[in-house]
Amino acid sequence: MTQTVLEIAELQLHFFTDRGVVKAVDGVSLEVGRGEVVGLVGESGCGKSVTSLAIMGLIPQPPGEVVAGSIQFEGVDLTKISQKELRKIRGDQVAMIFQEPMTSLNPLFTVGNQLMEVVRIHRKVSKSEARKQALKMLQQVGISREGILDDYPHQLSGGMRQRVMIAMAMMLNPKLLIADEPTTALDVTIQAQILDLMKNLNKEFGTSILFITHDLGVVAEMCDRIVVMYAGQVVEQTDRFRLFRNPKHPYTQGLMNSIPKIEDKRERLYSIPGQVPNPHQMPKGCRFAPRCEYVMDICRVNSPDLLAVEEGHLSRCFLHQEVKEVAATST
Amino acid sequence: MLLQVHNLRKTFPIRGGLLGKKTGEITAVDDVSFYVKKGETLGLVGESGCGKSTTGRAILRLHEPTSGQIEFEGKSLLALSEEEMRKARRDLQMVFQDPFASLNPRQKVMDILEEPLIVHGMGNGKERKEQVQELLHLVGLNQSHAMRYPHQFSGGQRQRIGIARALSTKPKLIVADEPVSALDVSIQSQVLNLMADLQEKFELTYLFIAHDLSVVKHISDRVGVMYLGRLVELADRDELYERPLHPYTQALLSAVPVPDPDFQKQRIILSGDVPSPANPPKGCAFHPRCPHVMDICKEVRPEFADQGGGHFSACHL
Repeated sequence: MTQTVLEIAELQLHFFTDRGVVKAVDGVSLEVGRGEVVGLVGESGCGKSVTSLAIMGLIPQPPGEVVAGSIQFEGVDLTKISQKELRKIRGDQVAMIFQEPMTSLNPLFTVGNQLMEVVRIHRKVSKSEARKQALKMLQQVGISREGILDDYPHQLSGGMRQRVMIAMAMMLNPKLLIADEPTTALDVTIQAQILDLMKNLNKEFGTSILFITHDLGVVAEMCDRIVVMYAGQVVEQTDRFRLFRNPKHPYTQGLMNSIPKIEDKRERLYSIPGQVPNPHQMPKGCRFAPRCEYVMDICRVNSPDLLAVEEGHLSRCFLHQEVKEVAATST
Repeated sequence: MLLQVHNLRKTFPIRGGLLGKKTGEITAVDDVSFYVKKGETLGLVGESGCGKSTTGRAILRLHEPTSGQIEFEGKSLLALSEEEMRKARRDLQMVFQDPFASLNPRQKVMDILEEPLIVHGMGNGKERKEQVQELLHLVGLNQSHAMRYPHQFSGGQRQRIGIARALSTKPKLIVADEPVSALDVSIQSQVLNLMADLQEKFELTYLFIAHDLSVVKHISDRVGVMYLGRLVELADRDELYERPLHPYTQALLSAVPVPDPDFQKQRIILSGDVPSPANPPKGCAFHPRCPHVMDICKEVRPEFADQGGGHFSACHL
């Protein structure tokens, strides 16, 4: 990796609720390099969205609070700076797109209005200049219809709205784009269009993307490197080829085996037994232990660290020590 | 042949203005014909708004079809009175997408599962209670769950309750409308396996409606593809996925992201959006987005015809 745009280190984000403390993000570390697309995957409630919102400073406080750790963006710790300073960075250098393009656009303002607002907040430009830029950006995302600027969000289809959201995020050419399930609400043929568009923007502008999704198929097509989360922790992290060819963590393996693959013949699906642990009662030791088929005594007592299994491949599992030894003797 | 659907059509009025006058019509299901054999799973796929859910509901007459024929075990369902239809639903049950919205939050699981038995007059109180316990066991829940309320369960468990409810009347056909799309992948596979087990055990027939092509491929014997209210292609599962004839099916299959970075494929990216069903294009509904569009496609609606070996497709090509 040449240069790091974003570096999250040992982030601890807790929610203080009436029923106790929920450690939604528990010691998450990850990096996004310049021009890199990093996937953050996991199932509902694993803390992937909370992590992304924390980068943007969008976690309501209280109940949420960053208890420890840092989020370095271009050398600035986003957890330490004031709201005012954060506002300057947000939308300008770091932008975000959300899952629901309908609820994240303001229904009362036209598309043009909302796009121009982004420019006019961060740059000193005239209205007509902002309008010109808005139109240009919309063309970049594949909307060339002239009247679009005067349309309201409800007049657009889901795919179009997501294009507008992307245009808005890309308006000021951010260094980092955070995409939280950007295609989950869209149909597959539209999803293909949007993924294609995001790939092109990444190539053309060199924008780094943190891509948050639960869809392993999307991750395999989009991301250079992948971070897998489970119950608030990173359990595995490596490049996409290694992750899909040789997943190390039992949870990642389970996930991959659970998806029906389109090229497969009909057979019984593998399924991970049990359910995600209750955030109020995290298991002692490894959080995946109650569902893990390789569980050992130590897993129920101690929590494993995220360690390198090989260069550039991290996994949080006690098994690997053994696996390495076996591999050493067999080769 | 368990179920036969002929030329099914369902329109919804568009109302507007002060007096709510009918100002237009949405054709949600347009001339759809297919059959389901006993013991098989027919998958129906398509994107949002293509009419796949409406088709499923119309078969149970939860939406009254506008025209067409539905035959279940040789008897016409549309000829039945409402009361007779209610009785017939003992053999035709449904599993819904949203396990949060489809269970009454004020009923205990016991009551949710017992209710269909009471409605259909099956067994006495004691027998019914026993049957509920058996149902819970079948779907992998335990007896103590019977006295809980739906909110005390996770999404996957609720979907199991939904399936248990559908099973309670010992139906022959289950229409499952997006039964796993609200679930996480690790839970999704549990529910898909459960459905496969139950099918084998009770010789159930499924009409499985979903938008996820991989899930449909996994569970189905035959698959139908819908676009804008019409069936555009229907064939045996392997035939459809390996040799899709309709350009829409081809594009749809190529658009599915594959969880394998080594897998290379030619992606067909369709331009534009699905047209409004209130104002469908003339001729073939897919022609404005079709990469192989010809003049005839803009004028004449292609017939949904057997292209050989039970592979149906509606295309002029």
